[in-house]
Amino acid sequence: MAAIWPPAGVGVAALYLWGLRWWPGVLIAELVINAELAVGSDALPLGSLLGQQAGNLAEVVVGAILLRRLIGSGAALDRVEQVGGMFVALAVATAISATIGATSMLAGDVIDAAEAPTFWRTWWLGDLAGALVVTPLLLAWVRSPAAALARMRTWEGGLLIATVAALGALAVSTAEPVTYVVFPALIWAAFRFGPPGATVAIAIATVVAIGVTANDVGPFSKQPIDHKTLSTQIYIVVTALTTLIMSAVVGERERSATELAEAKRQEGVRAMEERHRIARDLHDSVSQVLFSARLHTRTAQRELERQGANQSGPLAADLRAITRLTGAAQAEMRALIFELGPDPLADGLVAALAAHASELGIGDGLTIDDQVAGGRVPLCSRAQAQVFGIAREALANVAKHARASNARIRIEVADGHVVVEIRDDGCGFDPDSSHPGHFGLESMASRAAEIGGLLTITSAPGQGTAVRVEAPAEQTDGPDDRLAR
Amino acid sequence: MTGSRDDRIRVVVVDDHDVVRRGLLTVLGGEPDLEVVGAAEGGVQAMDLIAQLDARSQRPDVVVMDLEMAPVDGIETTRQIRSRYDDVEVVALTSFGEEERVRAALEAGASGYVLKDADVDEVAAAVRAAHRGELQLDPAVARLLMSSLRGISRDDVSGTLTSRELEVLALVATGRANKEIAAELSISERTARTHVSNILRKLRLASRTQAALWAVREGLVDLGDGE
Repeated sequence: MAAIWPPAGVGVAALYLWGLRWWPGVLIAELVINAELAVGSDALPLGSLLGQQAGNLAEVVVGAILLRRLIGSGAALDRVEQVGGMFVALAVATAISATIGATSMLAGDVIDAAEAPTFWRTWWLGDLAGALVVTPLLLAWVRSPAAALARMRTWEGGLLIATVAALGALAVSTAEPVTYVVFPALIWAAFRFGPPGATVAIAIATVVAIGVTANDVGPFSKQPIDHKTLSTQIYIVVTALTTLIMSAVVGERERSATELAEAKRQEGVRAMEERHRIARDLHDSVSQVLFSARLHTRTAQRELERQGANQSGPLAADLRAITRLTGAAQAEMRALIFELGPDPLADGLVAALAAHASELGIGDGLTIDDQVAGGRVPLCSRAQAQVFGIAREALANVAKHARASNARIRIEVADGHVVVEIRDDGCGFDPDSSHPGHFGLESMASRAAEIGGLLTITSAPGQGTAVRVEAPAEQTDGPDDRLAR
Repeated sequence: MTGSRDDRIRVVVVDDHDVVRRGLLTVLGGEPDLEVVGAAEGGVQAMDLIAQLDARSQRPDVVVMDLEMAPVDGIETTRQIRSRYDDVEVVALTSFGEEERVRAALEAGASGYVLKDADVDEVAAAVRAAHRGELQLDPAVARLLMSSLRGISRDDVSGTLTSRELEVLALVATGRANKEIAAELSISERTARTHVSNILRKLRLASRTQAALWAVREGLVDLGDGE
């Protein structure tokens, strides 16, 4: 009797993949494979043979049904519960075949009662080990063989196969108990090649183990025949199950990483939409009311003038205060809406810088020297956002601290880098004396680091300040998709 | 209002915010030389209102137009007004001064651009300037357009613009259309158009608005700053 019996696993996989209606095909295949048992020199009694065939067919059909039930259809064995479900389905199905087969043999007097338990066990483990090797192999490969092959056809895939074969042979061919040396190679397969690689590695290890053991070498060969078979079977079942579970865990990990990234992206989009909504709401409600309040205040002031009231009187002073306060509130709202509002970079970096400078009220002495053709800077949107963030920080410093009369933003592309330089003729500062957080220097530096850029700040008291960021130029995201907005 | 067929400037206010419409009505209504003849809450309503007023030969002189409206925004409405009634001026009144939006409004035919957080009196000043045929921009907006204005400096083109072209440019800078320029200089409209396109080519600019801003930046004309 063979140590493992793969045809049952092939049948289960076939009916699972293509549907139960193909069961006659399974029956014909069984008959062909078992033909020698019927006509050979040591032919079995017809009754036992029929019983065995019925048991094998039941095994395959029940296995396929259980597999569909337990792991659904189209499973790629990249979840631990799928591997577990498949193990249960195959264990139950092969137990049916072993039970019916052993009973038939007993009834046909092929074996006697004393042999029955060992016979059953060998049958069961043989079918189970075979199924655990071929069913996952077919499930992992049949759905998209080209993709699976592409994944394996690398130098690493070749090296893996060679290593599994070598370590698998070593595991079962020396007399020393080093059976476990095959596991690093199987773990490699599971981690790097997923279910397709894992199932191929299992198949190779199995073929090697059976071939070596059949040639009567290795640790298993010294054992009595029953034990030799048992050891080989257990070795295959444990190897297959461990490797399959491992590759499923790896699959789960990869999937949750992908899902996490997707969730983060969606969260970002949602947050952005929420900010835009808030900005729109603020603009539609508060800003309009403030503007209207200014209009009404102005009307009241004029009415007061018309009545010839004292312009330095308390009422006039209050109206002036209201005008000032609503004006300040409008400015606050405007800044807030600008922060929250639609992507300030929608029209590109250059336009965003110009708009922001005028927001800050430093548009007057500011020159924007744009050396980039068409104002389209070759940076991806993320890099543009960081460069804009740095420039915004630098412009805020110009507005708040520099007491500058002139500032100049220069944007150019040189040596594969986008260079943005903000230079002012203000009071400057000593970059070596630390200004913790004061000038947003840390935030500028971390923004630059984020995009692999270089930030240089040159300044000295009384010498003005130059903030220069160099970011590696790259492909922009899509053919001017920003233009379409 | 019915008294003299007065020479007050007839104004229509278009804004989708009720509070703003009411505020504008009181503040513009308080100006002795302005008469608010109607208010609309959107682009479609504005076109209907102007058509009604026109039928009663009360066509407005100036429309004060909010730009952020739905479904028909102020820029599109401005374009429609300017193509249907070429003597109705539009002053854009908006919360935002981004360059693209300003350009779009000016190219649609607006002859003023006032920010909602500018001095309130700017609105009336812009209405008057528009009525005089001048281009009035919020100073912040004008600076923004100017700072990003490409094109060459005056020194580089001295001598390349003919004196006639300089005359035409000065008129462009005050917001005159080709037809008006033609009338002013006693030339054909076609000739005026040729002058304008020669100017744009020589200055390497793309639009009349840019030409106007260039003229202002180079000191050929003053930007109409109201009174």
